[in-house]
Formats: sequence, structure tokens, C-alpha cells
Amino acid sequence: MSEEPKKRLIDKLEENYVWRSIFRTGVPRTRRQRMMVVLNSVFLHLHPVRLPKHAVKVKYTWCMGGLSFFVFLVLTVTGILLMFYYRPTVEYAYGDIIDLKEQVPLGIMREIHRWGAHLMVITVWLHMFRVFMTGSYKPPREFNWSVGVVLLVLTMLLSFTGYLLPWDQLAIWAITVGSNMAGATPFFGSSGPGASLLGIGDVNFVHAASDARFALLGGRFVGEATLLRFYVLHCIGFPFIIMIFMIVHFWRVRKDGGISGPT
Amino acid sequence: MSDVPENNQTPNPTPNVPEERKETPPALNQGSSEPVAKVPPPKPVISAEQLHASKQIVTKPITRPEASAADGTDMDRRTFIKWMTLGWAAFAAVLGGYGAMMMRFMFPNVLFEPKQSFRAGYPDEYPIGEVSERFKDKHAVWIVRDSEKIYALSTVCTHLGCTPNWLGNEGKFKCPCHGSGFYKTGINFEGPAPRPLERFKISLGDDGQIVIDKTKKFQQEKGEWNDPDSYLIV
Repeated sequence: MSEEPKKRLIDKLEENYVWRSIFRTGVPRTRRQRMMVVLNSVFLHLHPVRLPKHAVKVKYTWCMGGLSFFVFLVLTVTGILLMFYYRPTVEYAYGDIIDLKEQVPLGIMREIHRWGAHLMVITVWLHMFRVFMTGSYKPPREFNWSVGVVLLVLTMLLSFTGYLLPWDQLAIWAITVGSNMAGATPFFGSSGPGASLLGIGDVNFVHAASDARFALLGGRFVGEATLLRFYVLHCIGFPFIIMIFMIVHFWRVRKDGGISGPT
Repeated sequence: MSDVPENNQTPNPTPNVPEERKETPPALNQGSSEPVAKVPPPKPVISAEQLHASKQIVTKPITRPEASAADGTDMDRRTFIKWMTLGWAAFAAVLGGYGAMMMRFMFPNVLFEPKQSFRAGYPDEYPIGEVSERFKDKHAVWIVRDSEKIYALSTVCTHLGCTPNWLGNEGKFKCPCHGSGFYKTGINFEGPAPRPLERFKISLGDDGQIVIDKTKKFQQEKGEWNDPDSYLIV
């Protein structure tokens, strides 16, 4: 009784010109159609058409790579939302963070971003740990391991740059300590070894206003310029770079034979 | 055996191959026009020459690029590589230039930082034996006067950079973060702080006011507190 009109409705929907122009395959009824659905969608095609049984075994993968990506997406969405309220200036930054918590609707948004940031560092490390313990860095996946190491560093850099933005004492001093490490870089840091060798006579090329730390801070100490610099790196620079590496990373997982499994 | 008639239907270039190898354009023209006339009709029987001809058909696409490169309109390999090297070198140079520009861009010429030196009033505004917190909030400096000199202490804890409090009754600076304690001189004596507080350059200005320059710091553990710039004899 109810089967007939339902089927007719689906058929009508499928025969629609607009529908067919978007979904080429139609309702997947055969194995081939199911594969075509995956292959013909830009979003679905990130996923393999067929999965080996071991790839869905949570005990083996811990799903940590997927979770890292998921948390990254959450951070992207919440981060964009925070940008509507946060102003990266010495005058407003701290107050805007307080406002995000207390005045802006759904004050938990900022906390989700913060917790997500902690979580992403944890999941990325656990993902790396899993890959190491299962030997998945071995050929043919050694290049993807290297890409993964770059992704780990970028995750830490995102975490580091985001740390300054609340502009509280913890943030300012954490970045002061962190950027002092850049000042101790050999040759490129003014307080690092070899810096005094780079100069002609009394003219020192590497000093507090020309070294790696200065480039990072945009000044001689953590200040207005640093806040803006870290904001741009956190919201635009590093996300842009990490996405490029993520594309390569995911693509290589597929090209290297899919998720590694027990042999 | 069965595909030989098919091969015979295609133009037979056998007689022209030596001419194609000639380095002049006319040879190429001959090569393309002559076979049409010379093509023999398909024969049912295959001779040894025809078998050889079928092999020539296979080699033909390989000989052709050499012939076309010699006709003068296309570049030969050497010139092509020369230009490509030049092109890539120019590309790399431009890329390097942009890279250098981007690097330079990150080093500003003008800094909008708060001034690093300030006037701190006249020496007789500071009583002997007192720790002045007058410039603590604005400049992060304590001005201390003992029986013989005045010195400027940094308010930055040498452990992790918090700001200690001056506890007058106990006569010490105490950091609220991790409990580091410093004497009035700035020497650390308790808690995790690894070294004494830093002192800043202090001098007397033309108008008789104290001038403190925070760009120059003096560290006790380096023996710099003996430097006459690090204190002011009043």
C-alpha cells in the first residue's frame, strides 16, 4: 500500500533534472553504484571505496588520526566564531576574552576552542604513538611519517600562537619564555652562540632588534606587535600551511595502500 | 601472420627512411609525399622485405622527432635545455627575491613600543632604606635606596617572570606564583628562582632627575652589579 507512492516519490525526485545534475549515480542499489557514489563526490572520495576489515578495528587504530582531523574541524568552526568578537589589541584582547565567556551567547564556545586545542595536541601525539607502535612508519609509509612530523610541529605552533591571544599574565610570560628560546638560536639569536661572530668591527648584525626573536615578536619584547603577529599566524598563516600538509597526508594514506593493518 | 595485411595497408616508409635521416627539410617533404605514390597494393604473400617493412613502421615514430628537430623551425635539444635552464634560474631568482622581501617585511623599521627609559624624579624623593613602588605598575621597576646608593630593580621574577610583591614587614620580595623570595638587594634566598633580580642602568639627568634605562640590564651572577652604571651614588 505505502510502498507504491513512496517509490514513485523517490523516482520523481531522481528523475528531476536538477537532482540528476548533482547526484549522477542515483540511489545506489548495486555494488557498482555504491562505488560510483563514493567516487563521484568530492567529500566522499576522501574515503576509500572499499575498506579492509582491519581498518575499522578501533583496537588497532584508536581512530586517533580521524579524531585529530575531527577536532581540527571543530577548532576551525569555533575559531571562526570567536573571530567575530575578539580584537587582537592590547586594549581589547583580555576584555574580549572575558566577554566571550560572560556576555556573548553560548559562552562555552571559547572553552570548546580551548579544550579542543588541548585535545588536538593529545590526539595528535596518541596518533603518532599508535603509528609508531604498529610500525606503520615503515616503507612505503616513511614519507607520510615525515609529513606527519611536520603536522605535529604545526599543531604545536598553532597551540603556541593561540596561547598568547587571551593576553593574560600566563600568556604574556609563556610567550616571553618561549620566544627567549628563539633568542638563543645559534647565529640567528642575539643571545645565542655565534651571534657575536656575525659583524664587522663594532657593527653587530645580530642584535636584539634584528634576530630571530625580533622577527617572531615584531619588537624587542612581547607587546602590541606580537599580539597582532601571533593572531595572524594563528588564524590565517598556520591553518593555511597545516591544511596543505593535511591534504598531502590524507592523499598519501590512500596511495600508500590505505590504513596500515596487522600483517 | 594474420596482421600482416593490415600493416601493408599503411603507407610503407621503407624506401624513405634513409632520406628522412637527411638533415635538410626537403628530405622531410619527400618523405611525406613520396610514400603515397609508392605504396604498393596489399599483397597476399609476405616477403622478407615486407616483414622488415613492418618493423620499420614500429621504428618510425622514434626517428621522426629527430627529423623534425632538424628542420630549423623547432629547437634542438641543446638549445631547449639552455633556455629551460635559464628560465628556471630566472624563476628561482625571482622566487628567492620574493622570499628575501618577505623576510625583510617581518622586521619593522619603526617600533611602537613604550619608551624604555624614563625619569624617576629627584634622588631626595627616595628616603634611605626604603623600597619605592612608585614605578612598579607603569615601568616594572622598584627603586631602592640604601645607605650609600640608589639602584633600580626589575620586578620580573627570575623564575618564570611573574611579579613579586614587596613585603615591607618581612623585608623581602615574595613571588605569589611559586614562592620565590628575594632580599631587598634583589638576591634570591628561597623558592625556585635560580638567580637574583636584575638591575637596570641608572644615572642622573641634566635636570638633576634620576634617569632609568631599561635597555641595559645588570645581572649579579655575572658580576655586573659592580658596574658604576648599575647604581647611583648620592
